[in-house]
Amino acid sequence: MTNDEILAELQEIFRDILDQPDLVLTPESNANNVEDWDSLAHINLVTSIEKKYKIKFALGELQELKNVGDMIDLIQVKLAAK
Amino acid sequence: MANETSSATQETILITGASSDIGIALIRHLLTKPAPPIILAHSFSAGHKLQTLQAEFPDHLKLLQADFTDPASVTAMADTILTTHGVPTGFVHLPALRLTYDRFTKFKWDRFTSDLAVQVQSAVILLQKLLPKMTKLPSGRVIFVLSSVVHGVPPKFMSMYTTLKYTQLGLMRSLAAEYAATPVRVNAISPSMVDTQFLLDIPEVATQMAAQANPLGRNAKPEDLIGALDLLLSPAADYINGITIPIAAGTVN
Repeated sequence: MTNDEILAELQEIFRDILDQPDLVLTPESNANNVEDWDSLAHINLVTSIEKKYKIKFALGELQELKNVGDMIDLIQVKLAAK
Repeated sequence: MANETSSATQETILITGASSDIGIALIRHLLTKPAPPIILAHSFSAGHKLQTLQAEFPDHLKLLQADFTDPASVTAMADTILTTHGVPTGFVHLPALRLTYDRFTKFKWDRFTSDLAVQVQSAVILLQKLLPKMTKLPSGRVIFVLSSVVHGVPPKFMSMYTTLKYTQLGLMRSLAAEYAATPVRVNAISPSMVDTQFLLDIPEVATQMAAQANPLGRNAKPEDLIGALDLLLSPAADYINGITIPIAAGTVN
């Protein structure tokens, strides 16, 4: 999968979890510039992403993520290792 | 009808919500003591863990089933206890619906009232039947299993759970006051997150985050609660009443 394809799929997940149907996600999106992306939303986002791609994140990996671009990179690593 | 005098000589402990991991750990601990009590183990559906334990301890473990969302079912269980097993000397109250994390705006009143019935209404019905009789015993013990959320500022996104635990805290303290002059001691324990099946409905990453936030780097295990329960059930607690013991590795005060 390309990064853009993952970004498009993540956008759907974010729209659903955050209940923002018009949300536009970019690689630079982060908890500070996306409304309602708080700790609970983060947990739900991670869970949905894990289900979607059938992967598991370690807590330490999640804490190093700075934005959606980092998340996409981590998903790519996880998918490659499957 | 069971004889109340003879029941006072045999320690009998009612454990509600006994099929939980904490309940199973407590039962196993109590039944492997040199002089084990009779355990009356309530559950909704007597799962395989309880049945396995009963096969191991057939003389000391009695299984009771009741639907705690239904007051008639709780009342029937209380009547069965009194007519078949006599007055319990101890009561450990564990039942709860599984934990979920939700924003306050998603607070579901139906779910809350179901859990209120399971956690609080059941205790009220059982204790209205049992407590007056327990006061006639040489010693009686009531223990609520609360949560560390009742200490200080609770975690976010747990308004339903926190409200239910504070409700039980209020009930515990009220009973401790009302029965203070009797031989019945009413206390509680308040553990932080315990790794059990109770957490199956919350994301794994949330339990990992709780573990990481704990100074010991892990969540509590059911076995971590046993020492405090043992203390509160024992004669050593004759002069302890109306308290809740935090079991949280120092995360609350």
